[in-house]
Order: sequence, then structure tokens, then C-alpha cells
Amino acid sequence: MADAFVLSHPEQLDRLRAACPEAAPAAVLAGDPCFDRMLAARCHRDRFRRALGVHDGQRLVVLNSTWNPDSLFGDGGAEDLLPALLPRLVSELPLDEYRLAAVLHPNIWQGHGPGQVRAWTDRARRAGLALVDPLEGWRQAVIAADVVIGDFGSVSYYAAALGTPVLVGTASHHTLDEDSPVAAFVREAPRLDAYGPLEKQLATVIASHRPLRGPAEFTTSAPGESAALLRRAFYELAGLDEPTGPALLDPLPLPPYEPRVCTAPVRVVTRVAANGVSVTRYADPRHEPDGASGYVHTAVHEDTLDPGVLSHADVIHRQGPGDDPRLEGPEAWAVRTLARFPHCSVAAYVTGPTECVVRTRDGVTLRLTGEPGGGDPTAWVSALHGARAEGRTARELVATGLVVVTGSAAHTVSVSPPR
Amino acid sequence: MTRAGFGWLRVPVGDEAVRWATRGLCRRVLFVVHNVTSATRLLDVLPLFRDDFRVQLLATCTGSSPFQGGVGELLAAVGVPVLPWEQALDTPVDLAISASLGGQLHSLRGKLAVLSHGIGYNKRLATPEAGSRKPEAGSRKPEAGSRKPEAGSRKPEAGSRKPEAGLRAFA
Repeated sequence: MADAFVLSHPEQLDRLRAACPEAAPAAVLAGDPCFDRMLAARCHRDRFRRALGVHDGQRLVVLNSTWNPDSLFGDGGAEDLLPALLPRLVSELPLDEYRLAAVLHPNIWQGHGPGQVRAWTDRARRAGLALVDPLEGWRQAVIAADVVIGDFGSVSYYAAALGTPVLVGTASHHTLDEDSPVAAFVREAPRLDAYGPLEKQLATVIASHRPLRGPAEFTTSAPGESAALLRRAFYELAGLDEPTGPALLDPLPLPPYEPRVCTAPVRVVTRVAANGVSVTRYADPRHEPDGASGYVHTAVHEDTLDPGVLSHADVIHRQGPGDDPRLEGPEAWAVRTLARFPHCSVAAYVTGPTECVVRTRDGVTLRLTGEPGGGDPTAWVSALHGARAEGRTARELVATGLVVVTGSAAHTVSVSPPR
Repeated sequence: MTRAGFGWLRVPVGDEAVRWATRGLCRRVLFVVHNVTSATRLLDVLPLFRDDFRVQLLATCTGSSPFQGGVGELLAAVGVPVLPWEQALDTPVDLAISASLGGQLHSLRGKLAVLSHGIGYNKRLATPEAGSRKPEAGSRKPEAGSRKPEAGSRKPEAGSRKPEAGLRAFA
């Protein structure tokens, strides 16, 4: 039927010959242009991570699903995993140690409607899930990932081909040709226990990861060469001489900056230790975190869905430019917020990725300034609140600064009177 | 009712395109879209034709995929002329490029290259798309007379769809 049947690996030619011998003469081996664009963009992994607001020491977990009822997102497999798994992922993984992004097949978006996909994921997004654009952003997110929770779809396979650990979330794959490399991958890849402890499984798969040979081998037999091979084939078919310049695919663009914004209530455990103030935060947790070893408080974004939560928040914060003409300025906003919510101990206005203005109940206004990639300013605010709760004075903190410890990362934050 | 009345393009292809086109001698490369997923793979390779004044890029959508959402917006954003599927079947092209096997690709008038839109070819044939293709066949009849050489070759659609099923089975 086709004059050129483009294959990315000779393995496909064997199966084509077996299944449809009359099509085999049209086969053209020309690699994989999608994967080539990913390979060419790997050098930009750090900026793709920063585009998603991933901090130093933070791990990016990409949740990936192909379409159809058997997929991770589907409700037709042996179990409907996602409705329970998604809230656990957003609330059980400590907020500062993990960033969660979802890459969903365009057929989920277009089959059910983008508005429906957003509605299904509303709570998760308010807890900070990044819903990645299925056309423009998914490859950058996959390149940026530390680990993928996926299924039998191509995106998970591409991730594995890049050498990224993949936990397969669903075993169903009966739409696949059993002889295909993807079916082999699903059989061999480590499996997610959706009811087991999630953080432990993610940490284990990252630490013990040894890339499977299949995905790297079978994704393309001509890495980096698809542009030249395809242009040659296309021009030959069209009856034109090829242009003399090199055949090049477009570089993947840098996605817009989309840091994690969590408007869901956050439970925070802080502990003042010799090396700094450790902060462990959980977004919208179902269970009270283990606070035995520290001081537990609640931090809430001013734009949280249920404003009633603000009345028992210990910390209230908002984000935006400090000179937003709609608001009265960071310090005046903080004064007003503390007056409005008598339970609130600290009001913080995050004015940029590395700075915020904080006002405490006892009338002290401070400016916190960190390093780029040095964690989320709202974590610094909780560290400050935890330190004050354990007796540190504002004067001491201005003198010494704050070291905010989240997981294995320690971020230095300077504390100063406002300008 | 003219064909333009059915949304057919009049430039750069169409009955009197030669009157309206500024560069009417270009080779025609037609991107055959099935849905947003297959379109993204075609967008990967579309830039291979950059800077070539000898080529006019065109796009069409088979209408055979159940996933039609977002296709119109995506093609509008790509900004190449979009032919209604009926016009695409009626328009000789030098090369048609598709990233899926659904629809009546065999009825296109030109060389055809087919890419996969995921990792190679892994799926067994699940649900045939044949049902959604029927309306197209009917609506094409009024034009059949004016396209003598090709009209004959398009008739045995039902029969010639089988190899496609075979390919998907392999895939």
C-alpha cells in the first residue's frame, strides 16, 4: 500500500515480513525522529528540570499513561488504580523532596476533553501536580525525570530508552503484540505496588536502577540519523534533489516556567538540629504526619480552595510580584492577613523564586533570600516558624541566617530586615 | 454548489489555483493527519522541508480516527493549507506522509510514506476504524465523474482495506 513504510529498527522488519510479506519491500529503515529530538535535547536536562521548578536535591517523578482502558489512567484493567494512587502520590511524597508531573496520552485529553482531564486532576493539581502539555512539553518532562511511573505506552518506553528508571504501574497490556519489544519491556520492568509505601519504592528503584537493554536497543537502530535518512527517503519519493544543507529536526523548545504551586493545605514537621532546621512538608495529607520528632504546623496558601482552612492555619502565604498594584504591598498585606486571622502566627508574601517577605505575630518583618534552586521559599517560612516556635529570636536568625534541610538537601537562606 | 462551497481550497491547490497561486509550480507534500497523536509525529518531520522554495506543504485529516478533538486547532497553528479529506483524495500530490494507517490512504493520488507515531509498531489490531469511514465514501460520489483516471482505482475500497488490517496486526 505504502511506497515507503518507515521503520525505526530492523526488528520491526522481521515482524513485518512475518505478518505482511507484501509490505516488506517498501520498508525503509530511518530511525526515530521523536527520539532523536529527545537525544539532542538531553544536554538541556537541567533547564528542563528548572522549568518545572525542580530544586537542587529534589526528585522529579513523572506519572505517565497511554490511552485505552488497560492503561494506567484507564478504568478497564484488572483494577482502577489511579483514583487511589494519584492522591497518595501527591500527599505521601514529601513536598520538598519530590516534584510530581503527569504526562498523559493526547487521546486521553482529546477523548475525554481537556477540561475533564483538569477536573479529574483538580485536587492533585492544587497539591502541586504539574499536568504536562501533551504536545509541547512531554519530551522535556521525560528528559527531566528521575523516575517514571508508567505503563506499556511509548512514553514510558522512551523514558526507559533514555536510561531513566521506570516503575510499571499496570500489568495489563493485552493490546500489545507479545513479540514486540514493548511487551518484553513490560514483562521485565520493575512493577509498582500501588498499595505499598510509595516513597520507599521510588527511592529503591532509583538507587538500584540498572537500565534494561531492550529499550535502548530497540527504540532506534540509527540514533541521531533519522533526519538525514527521512529527508533522503522523502525527497527521493517526491522526485526532488535533496537540498545541500544538513537535514535537521527542530530542537525541543524550553517549556514555560511552571514551579510547583501548592494551594492545598500543607502539614509541616520542623525540627531544629545542629545542621539547621529540617522541614518535611506534606500536601493535603490524609493522615497526620509523624510529628514525634518535631513541631507540627499547618501552612496554607491564601488562594486555597476552602477558605475556611485559613482560620486554623499557622502560616498563610501568597505568591506574586511585590509591586502588584491590586495588592497593598507585601508588608501591608501581611499586617492585614495577621489581623484577619487571629490564629495565624506568620504571614509570608513570596515575591520571587528566591525571596519572600515575612511578618510574625509579634510584629517583626523579615526578608528571606535564598539561592537559585535552593528550595521553595514557603519551606523557608515554615523553617523560620519552626525555629521561632523552638525559641530562636528574630535577632538570632538575622545574625546567623537559616539553613533549611529538606531530605538530603541543605539550603542556606539569609534573613534580613526589609529594605 | 461549487466545490469551494464544501470548503475546498482554491489556492494553492484547487480547480483554478494556477490563477491565484504565486508559486504554483511547487511539488506538493501532503501531511495526512489522523488525530493529534499522529500529527505530532508529522510535526517532527515537517521541518525537514525548511527553506525549500520548490515545495508546497499541505495537510489534511482523514476523519477516520475517533479522536478528532484538537486536530483543527493544531493544524491551524501549523499554518499550512488544510485540504478537506475529499479534496485531498482528489488532488495529485508528489508525496503524502502519514503517521498512522487508518483511513483510505491507498486512495491518495501520489507516493505515500508511512511512519509510526509511537515506538515502532507494537499493537495488535484492536477495534477496526472501518465504521467511522463509511460516510466519507458516500459523500465522494458527486466528484467521481470529473476524475476519470483515478475514479476506477478508488472503487475497490472495501477489498483494498484488508492489507491495512494486516499491517496493523503486525503493528
